[in-house]
Amino acid sequence: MTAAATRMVDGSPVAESEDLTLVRQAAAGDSRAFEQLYRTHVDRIYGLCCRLCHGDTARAEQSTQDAFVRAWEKLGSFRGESRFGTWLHRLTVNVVLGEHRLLKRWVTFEDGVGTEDESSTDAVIPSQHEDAGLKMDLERAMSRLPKGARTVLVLHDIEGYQHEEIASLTGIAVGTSKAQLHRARRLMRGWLQ
Amino acid sequence: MNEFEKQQMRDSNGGDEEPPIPGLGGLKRENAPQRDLWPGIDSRISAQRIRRQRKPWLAAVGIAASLVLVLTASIGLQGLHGNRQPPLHSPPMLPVVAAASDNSLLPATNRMHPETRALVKANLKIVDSAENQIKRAIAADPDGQYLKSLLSTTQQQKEQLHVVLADAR
Repeated sequence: MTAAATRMVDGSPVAESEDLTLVRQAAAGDSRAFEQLYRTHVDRIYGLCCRLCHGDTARAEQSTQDAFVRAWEKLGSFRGESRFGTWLHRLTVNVVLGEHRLLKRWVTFEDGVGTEDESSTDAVIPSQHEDAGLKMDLERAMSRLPKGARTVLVLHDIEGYQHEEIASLTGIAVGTSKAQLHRARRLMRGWLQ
Repeated sequence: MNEFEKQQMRDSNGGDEEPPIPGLGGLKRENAPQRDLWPGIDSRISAQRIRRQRKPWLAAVGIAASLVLVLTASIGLQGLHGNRQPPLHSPPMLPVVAAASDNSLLPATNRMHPETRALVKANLKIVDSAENQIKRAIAADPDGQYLKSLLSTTQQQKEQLHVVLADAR
């Protein structure tokens, strides 16, 4: 992962080494160490789940729990080659997208665009900055996108994944990912003008 | 600007002629859940730990069963190979006859393992689907040069896969 890795939660060397120590303890069965990892990363993972679940908070909560349980099960396979946050992020995308199945089903040009979904914008972080209006517009426009296009847009433009990574994570072709991103940006631009 | 730099420029835009939406990359990525999700996680991982502690013998039984299976299979395979081997005193078979029976007269590069063939076919399916979707995108945006070049690349990939399959026979 490239940009996505650099955007992960506090990626300082100290935080990384703390994570690594906690991972080793958790892999040895220490659930308190795992709880600390949970506390460090939950906001980032829940934020990701909210976006991938398109604002469905109940599903986002469930997916967050599933992701951490899956992480606990797979801690033994974490070799420390990437940051723990990056590894967890990727694992979460896999959990939410149902190990390649959901996105394949969603990614189609036959699905239409939606109407504004107020509930989905509730879940995605109202900004306190002066550009809150623009951000809310962006969230609203995103909520109107078809699921597949929205998911590719979130993974590429917000989470920083490359098309090749999206393809390998989801099982869709690189060309499909590019076409969906093109479509999503075009629709968004049209709505925001 | 050389071709590599141009490619990098394209990649920084997601390889897409449609530039990124301003402000999208600046959206907040963190969001605190409204309730503490840890108790639910803790109860699930505790249940797993208890299950593992209660049945340590189950893993041993599993390993033993696997060993028995492997041993049985290898004995069976040895038996099969044993039946095929010619008696020690018989004249050696002509290599051409042996080769003809297992199709190894074909150049090594032309032979494809069934799993590889299945993988190539699966890839072909994915590329097919990509081609269809790009065609639909072009129908919605007929002037999009980017989509047209994407379609041409996809069709080239498809042709290459067909060639691989055809070569492999």
